[in-house]
Amino acid sequence: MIGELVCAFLGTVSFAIIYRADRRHCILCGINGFITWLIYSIAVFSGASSVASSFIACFFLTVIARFLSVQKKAPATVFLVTGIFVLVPGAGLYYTIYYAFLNRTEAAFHCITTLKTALAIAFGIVIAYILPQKLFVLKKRGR
Amino acid sequence: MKSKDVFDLVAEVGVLMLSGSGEVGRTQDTLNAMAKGFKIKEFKCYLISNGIFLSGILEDEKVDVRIEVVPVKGTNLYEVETLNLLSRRVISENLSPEEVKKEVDRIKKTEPYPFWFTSLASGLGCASFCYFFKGTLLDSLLAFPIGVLLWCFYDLLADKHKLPKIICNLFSSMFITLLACIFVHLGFADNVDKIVIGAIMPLVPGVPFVNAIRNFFSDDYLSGVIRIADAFLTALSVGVGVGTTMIVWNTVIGGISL
Repeated sequence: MIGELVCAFLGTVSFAIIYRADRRHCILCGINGFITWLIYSIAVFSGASSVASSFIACFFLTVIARFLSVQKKAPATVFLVTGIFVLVPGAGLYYTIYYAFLNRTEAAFHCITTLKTALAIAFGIVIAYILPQKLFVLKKRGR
Repeated sequence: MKSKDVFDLVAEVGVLMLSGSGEVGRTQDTLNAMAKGFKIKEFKCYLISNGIFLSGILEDEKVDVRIEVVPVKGTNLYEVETLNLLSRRVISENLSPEEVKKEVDRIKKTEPYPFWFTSLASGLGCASFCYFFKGTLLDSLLAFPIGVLLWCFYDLLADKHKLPKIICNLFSSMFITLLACIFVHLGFADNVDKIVIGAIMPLVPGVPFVNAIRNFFSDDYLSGVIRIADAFLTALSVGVGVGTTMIVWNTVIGGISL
């Protein structure tokens, strides 16, 4: 669990560097990824399915990304696309192809799971974007 | 600065932001802000993920039009962010077009991190995601150099040879899988699949997917569809690359461990 959280942090920071995000934002991106995975793990631990946990974690990721974008005056894109890496169904994609090439039925299961996770992430982003922008600016002034 | 050149400058900023995977709505806001700051009259812009259409009225009351094709490139958040900041400064500090042009030229040339640093970061990312997906420590140690080599290889194909993105993804994923199979066969690590999952993370189309969602949400359906197609084709090409290499390896040498 700790290992996964550390890896979420390191992995997100690495991809922030690859995407040439600003130096000052890279650590924040890493913390964002860390928190996202933490929320995902808590959701899974509380009994939600992996798809529902992806939705919840993605929602909070987008909220944090919008909040950070107001604080740091950077586009929310920076924090959002770097934080999304821990949720992206890379393993699902791999196993779909793997089992498809071996002509085994697990391919369908992994394919559906991958698509469901992708949709869950999409909905997480959409629902978080419905929140008005004023909410994030007020949070800054409230300090 | 001639108003024609100012107009060119605005188009150039739009191209840079879109090619670095900025999303359409934000780029539109940026261009509108810059045009307002430069006092271009009746500035209208229509942006899709790979094209820019601008029109405005120049000093001599003639309508001018710019049409630009946005090249497909990797994500460059540095350009997206700094150009956005620049456009805010145009309004707040009333910058002149000459100053902005100098800044844009500087931004175009700047690489915030040297190539060796991003390669190492790629290696670290692949290794940490390998461990993240429950690979062993040995797998992650092997995923590190594979990640570094992947970055160099992808850069070689995309920048030096300028191959289309699908081909770059296909060959890069074949390259990773081949390396992973070879090293596991030689006994350096345990699981081919965990290494490959970690190593394909830079290729997995997270960014186009997220941008597609955001485009759909701001009613840019065409751009959203372009990005979704981009994400889908990337995923497909990566998958096909991995799959075919494993099948070939299995046929020639045999025994891919699950």
